[in-house]
Amino acid sequence: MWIVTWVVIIGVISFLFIQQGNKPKTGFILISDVYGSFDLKKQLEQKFTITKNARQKIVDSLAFELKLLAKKIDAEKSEKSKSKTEEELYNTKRQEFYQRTQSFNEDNKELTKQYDQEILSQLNQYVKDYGKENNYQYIFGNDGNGSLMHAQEANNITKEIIEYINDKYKGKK
Amino acid sequence: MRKGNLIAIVFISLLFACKNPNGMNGVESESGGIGNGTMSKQSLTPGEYVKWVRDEQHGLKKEKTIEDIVFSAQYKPAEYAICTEEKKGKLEDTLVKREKKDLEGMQYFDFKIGLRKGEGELLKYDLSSKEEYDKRVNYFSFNMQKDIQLVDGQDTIPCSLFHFERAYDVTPNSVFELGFAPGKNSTGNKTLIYHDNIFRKGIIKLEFENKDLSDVPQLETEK
Repeated sequence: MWIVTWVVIIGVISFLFIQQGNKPKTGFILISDVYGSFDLKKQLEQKFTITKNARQKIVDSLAFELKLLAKKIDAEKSEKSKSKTEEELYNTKRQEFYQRTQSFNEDNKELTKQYDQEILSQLNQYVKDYGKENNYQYIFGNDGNGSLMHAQEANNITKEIIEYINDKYKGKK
Repeated sequence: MRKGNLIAIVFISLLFACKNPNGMNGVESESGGIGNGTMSKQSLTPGEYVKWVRDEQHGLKKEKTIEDIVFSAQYKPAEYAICTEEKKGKLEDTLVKREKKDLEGMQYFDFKIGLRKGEGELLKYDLSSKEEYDKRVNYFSFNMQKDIQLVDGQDTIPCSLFHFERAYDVTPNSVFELGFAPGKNSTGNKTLIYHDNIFRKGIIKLEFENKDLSDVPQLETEK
């Protein structure tokens, strides 16, 4: 008799256990933490800084040349031997300076936009992959704008997601 | 009653063992890998060899899907390159040795970019203008090479051999044949890196484990 009782108890426990295991889960992540810790974001940030600094160097050297030319023209003005060609050169350089500055600013903006898009593409894909692999029905993103007002800390999977997305990015998974 | 408790404990233990996906199953699959390692010592015919190398389970082919684009890389051992080039059921030992010598000193990969849905032409995907199409063709043909690198152990190696195989509407993917000089210390893993500027999917990394690269079967040849 006791064997039957045990079998029934174990059967019920197993059923509940399997049910619990198959139950779709819900979790949330702190978006800013995930975004900030994503290796692709760090790498592209570095790449952007290098490009931006290289462009800034070009603009700075143009500005320096302009300053020198302006000084020279000013000196010649006081000596009353003002050269027309130097003034023309100054105007051309000044125009180049403004054009370059404007175009670099636009290029920097475009590059930021491109890199943001690249980061989000991979981030979204990897979070999706994590959800699928780990049987999550929903993974909410908490970005502090009020879309997620309350969640139990036990459902915070930020750490796990960061580890997963970085492994995925490295091509390890 | 004591016997009953023992049965219960054994039953529950079995239940846990079956449920844990990283438990026995993990060990099983790992030992399967070791099994494959033993398999790899075998000699395979050219057909079997090609099939083995292309099997993702053996770790010489890696794939990554980012939204609607699939990036994949196939590591090509010299024997594999010879088999696919010759397309014969049997290969002579002298021919394999000769061709292997020609291929020495480089490491080869096929890199493929394709559409996840498997239809349409990659070059025309999500296109805004004819100019953009021409830009893509030009980039894939000439400029993409500079965006590809191989991290081999501690060394970062630029892509020195590059060939774009154009598909012309035939397949929804584009294939690029890549070649890299060997790293100074080739005992580490290898990571193929490509910065995708066309579909804006970011830096794509595909890692090949050294144990997989060195665990390739032998090619059966005829004397």
